[in-house]
Amino acid sequence: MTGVYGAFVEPLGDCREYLTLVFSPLTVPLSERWRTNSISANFMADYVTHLFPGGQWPLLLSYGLADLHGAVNYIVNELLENAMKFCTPDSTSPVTISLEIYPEQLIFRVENAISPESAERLQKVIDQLLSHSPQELYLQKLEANAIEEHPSSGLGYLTILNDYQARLGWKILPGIPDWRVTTLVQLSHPRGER
Amino acid sequence: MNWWAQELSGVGYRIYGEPEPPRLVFEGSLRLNGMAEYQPLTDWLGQIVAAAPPQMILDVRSLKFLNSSGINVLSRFVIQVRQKGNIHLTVRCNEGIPWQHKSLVNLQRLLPTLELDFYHES
Repeated sequence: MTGVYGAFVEPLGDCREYLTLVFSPLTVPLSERWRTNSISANFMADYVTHLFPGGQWPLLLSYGLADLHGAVNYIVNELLENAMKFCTPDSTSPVTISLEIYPEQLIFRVENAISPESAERLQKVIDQLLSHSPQELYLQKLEANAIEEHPSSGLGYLTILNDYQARLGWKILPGIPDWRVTTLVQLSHPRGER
Repeated sequence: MNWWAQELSGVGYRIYGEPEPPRLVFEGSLRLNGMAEYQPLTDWLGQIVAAAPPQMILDVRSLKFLNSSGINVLSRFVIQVRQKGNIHLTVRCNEGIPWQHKSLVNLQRLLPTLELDFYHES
């Protein structure tokens, strides 16, 4: 059964501007194209911050160019790192990332194949994220990671929530053989603006 | 080997040590893949905690990008410094690099005596 969590929304009807990149895993496995994530993240950040003539975009005006560029660069990079890390290794289905550009917000939407086991682990991470304050969980996680011998960082979502004040949502769709997960980030005006 | 007489570098980044004042300088963009690729840096930071210089500076003014795995590595070092108890840690930051004023403030929550010095540099 499809599961929808957090701030997930389907594409809004008034989205006229968007940018989508599709990564096909057929020649180079997704896990081996790690170095290209920075190229994609930089490109997407450059694109959205230079799209509107004269910089006339409410979201850009309230962040300023450097801060919005930094936020998009960071969030895209983390979402792609997660998608490349956790997608089904032998899947032939692509990873897709879209930026949906609205006057007052930016929606990041990443879709990738995932094994049922990874989906179950993700479900536990989502439950934890949705039931704690991001800052409390972030500091707890840093303290826990400092003790464990070989910790996996697991901090990507928490930094997006805590440091960039964005909202996160997920849709998990069971299938055969692969499940699909869509991860969504909503970036609105900085806190205190609007 | 003295902890400062080392260097780590790869595509787009360089990290090197300096003895006077004792500091580790980070340059470029660090986007390594998970904790495994960060292990050499984690080991180096562990050597610094063991050497326990009374003053220590992390200079990230030229570090344009750090992914969440890298943030984890720095946070772990800060917690180890807190546990050690006899190292005064300063982080030199760049006001003009957005991730630094968003994420580095969390290090102070882990170690309230940590000094964050923001510089205005292009």
